[in-house]
Amino acid sequence: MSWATFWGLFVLASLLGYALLVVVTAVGGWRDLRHLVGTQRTGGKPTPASRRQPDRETGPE
Amino acid sequence: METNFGIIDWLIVAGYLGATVLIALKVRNSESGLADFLVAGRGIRTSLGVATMVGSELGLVTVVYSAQKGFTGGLAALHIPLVAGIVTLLVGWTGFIVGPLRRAGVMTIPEYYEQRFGRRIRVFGGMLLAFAGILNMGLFLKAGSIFVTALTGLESAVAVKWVMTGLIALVLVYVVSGGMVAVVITDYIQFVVLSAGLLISCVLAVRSVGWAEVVAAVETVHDRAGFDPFATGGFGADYVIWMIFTAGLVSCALWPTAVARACSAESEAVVRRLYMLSSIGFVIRFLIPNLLGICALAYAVSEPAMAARFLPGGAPAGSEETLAALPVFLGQILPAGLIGLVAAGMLAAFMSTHDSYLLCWSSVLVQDVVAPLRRREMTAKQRLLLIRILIVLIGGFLLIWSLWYPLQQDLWDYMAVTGAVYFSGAFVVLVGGLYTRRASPLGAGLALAAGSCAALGLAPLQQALGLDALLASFGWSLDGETAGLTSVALATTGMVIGSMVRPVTRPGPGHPARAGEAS
Repeated sequence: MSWATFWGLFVLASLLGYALLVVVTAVGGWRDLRHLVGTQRTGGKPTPASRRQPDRETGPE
Repeated sequence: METNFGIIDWLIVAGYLGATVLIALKVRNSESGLADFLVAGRGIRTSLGVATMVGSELGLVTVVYSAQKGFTGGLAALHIPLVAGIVTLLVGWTGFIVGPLRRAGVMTIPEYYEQRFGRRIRVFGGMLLAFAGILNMGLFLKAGSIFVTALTGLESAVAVKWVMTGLIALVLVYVVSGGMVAVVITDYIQFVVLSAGLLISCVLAVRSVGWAEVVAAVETVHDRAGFDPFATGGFGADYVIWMIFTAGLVSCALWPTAVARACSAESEAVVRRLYMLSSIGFVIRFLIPNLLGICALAYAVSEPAMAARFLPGGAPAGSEETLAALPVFLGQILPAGLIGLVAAGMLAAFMSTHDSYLLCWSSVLVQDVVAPLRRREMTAKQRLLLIRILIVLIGGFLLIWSLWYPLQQDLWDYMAVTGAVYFSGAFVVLVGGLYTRRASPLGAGLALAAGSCAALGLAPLQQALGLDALLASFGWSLDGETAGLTSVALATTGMVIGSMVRPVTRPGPGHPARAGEAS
């Protein structure tokens, strides 16, 4: 395989992978952002929104 | 030069930036303490962590210097994203450096220095870090304003200066008001908008010039060195090793803005997942602009006006000139509307990078230099006030440095060398401190001091010291990668000698021998 083909395939795979990451992260990040701003506003106490959405990584608060 | 940037694009930019500043002002009252201001109360989860980490690192300046690297290096420049992605994935998989750092519960790297090596090393390390970091971002304003003026067609010297001043004023208002939560919010918005804009731009750029033409142009301008990163006359093996270290390990595990994300995460498990998922982001932050720069090269080969400006005599022009190649190219191929969206995303990216960095360096100066040196404990209110004052002072310095410093190498190489003043020593100190029992405070101090020798890789400094003439008389020259790699070797030697001469007598709380006690 030539260097040009190698770089072409690398670019294509990376762009497709990134497009997928953007979609997944944008959705998950929006949920996390609401939780973060809600927590800041209540001084660290759980908000109604965060009670409804327990953290998948650390379990319910 | 010609551009498609029009009134509709100006409106998009104004609306977007106005909305971003309003958001920062709105969250202002919700931040209650220092931990909220600096690490968002350590409440960042994986998805938001990935978005903000990529958002913060995919800045306008990254786009400008990486595009320049693509323009001046051809397809071979794509080795930079390749190694950046692989190393970040490995760091996430193994938790190398970032895992133990999060476990230590520190907010900054110098705070870890104190845990492990004592207060003096924290202060010395903090001073070096802030010095290198501020110098490192010294040309951000210049790069940002060259991009904005070239994209919009306002290319007079006066316009560049006014744009620099306006941009820094906007960033200062924003970051002084908001803190880390504001930074996280804008990083998220910018991640979504800029990612979409850049992905579309990539597709349009490759379509406008054609992949076969890209390959042919790289061959015409760079020959074999434009494809093979190890080829002589191109990057070379030493440069690739330097990139594995800088674009790979340093970018994700040593650079404080990335480490701040690790320290802000909820747990070590989140840190490792964050890094593994972000590895594609670390590829993309270099790859998309590299690719756009390469497309700009192909476009310049086919357009006589572009060729005359950016490829005089068939070779890439000087380093300040080639910074403008990408925005001029985008200004000619993107349609109205989309160009405004890309410009707005880029400006938001510019703010996002600046706010993260300004917050980072000012907090290092306060938390790691000023506060440890004072006899009385500083209150959280005093610290916040000082951080805000320092943000404004650093902003003033950036404006002056951007106006006066003569860039005589590619911007990325300038940044790698200035960053190495800090990270050459920090790498050795962190690895020694986290993974060995014998690393001592004297060894750490010598390693940090030796690492700062990397500054000799800066061309203007070599000229000022007469080093370039001295080396030339022996038929040698000192490029950035040689200076950087040598400084890492010197720092390692300093750590070994210092730790042997004065070994650890009483292990501090951060010592591996006491790992289970503190937490």
